[in-house]
Amino acid sequence: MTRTRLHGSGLLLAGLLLASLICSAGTRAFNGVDLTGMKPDGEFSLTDHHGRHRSLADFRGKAVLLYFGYTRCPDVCPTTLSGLSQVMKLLGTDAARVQVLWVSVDPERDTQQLLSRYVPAFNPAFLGLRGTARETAAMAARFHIQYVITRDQGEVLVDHSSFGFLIDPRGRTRVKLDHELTPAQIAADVRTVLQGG
Amino acid sequence: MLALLCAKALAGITVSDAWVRGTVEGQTTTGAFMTLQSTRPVQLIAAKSPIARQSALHRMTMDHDLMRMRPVPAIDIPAGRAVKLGTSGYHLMLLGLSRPLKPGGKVPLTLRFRDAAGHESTLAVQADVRPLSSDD
Repeated sequence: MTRTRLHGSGLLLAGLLLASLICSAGTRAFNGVDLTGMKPDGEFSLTDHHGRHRSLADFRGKAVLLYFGYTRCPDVCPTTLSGLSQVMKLLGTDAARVQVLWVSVDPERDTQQLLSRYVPAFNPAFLGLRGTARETAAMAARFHIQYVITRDQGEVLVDHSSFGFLIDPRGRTRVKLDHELTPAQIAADVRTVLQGG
Repeated sequence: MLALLCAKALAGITVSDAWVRGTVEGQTTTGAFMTLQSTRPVQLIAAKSPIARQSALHRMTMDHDLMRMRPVPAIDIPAGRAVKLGTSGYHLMLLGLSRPLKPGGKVPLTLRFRDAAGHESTLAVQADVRPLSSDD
């Protein structure tokens, strides 16, 4: 009896897996990692580079590209932001329905004023976000972002997760965007969620 | 005569496409990038610039999704093979900048090399300041 039940639930699981595979193949094929239904919605409470309090609800109706970084980052962060400015160009008129948010993992050194000069240098519509140490930690934990700040020979070194997220216009976290993705691949995923995929 | 000796000591080392990422006001650090090539194996062991209080040689690595950056004592330049700072994972870090770096400007850099016999030599280059949003 127990055996049969196990067998039955195994079949059910296999069926569900198959169904989810068919569904994901049929309705959406993201270049990034599909997180649909896997993550809690990415609500947050941070301050933007104009000093305004922001939560994810402020961006409802837009697709959000959410990335993390720090301004002392010499190479990866500026290259990522520059790639996102290319994504916006590739999206053409659809770019008006997309908001890039860049969260500092080093709010102690990334002041609001510095973010207000740094982030828009890549695209005037990009928004820098920062929080207190506690808010930043809570935000990172919510998105499973790691960041570690150490000092070495008088230098402040920041290790951090290099991926970003695509959040759909309804505020659902949909795609994990790995660092290796090209602007064209990211733009394609943005279009998929803008089209309701 | 001295210039001749220096030129001789540096024979075989070529630095090309040297550039520094521009900064906005308030930024006190940036990265410097270039392509290094040598006819014999050498190491880049230090860099100096009058516009930075301190400089460091860095290596960036990806540990799964985690980006790490650490100072390294030297960057190997194997004989006959170009090492491109930036895409190779290595870069020069300029710390404690005395002023914002505007695109179109120049940044003097002095690079110090060591050869297999332990002889050290320096090479002065002028790096172009490119926009903050430049790609490698």
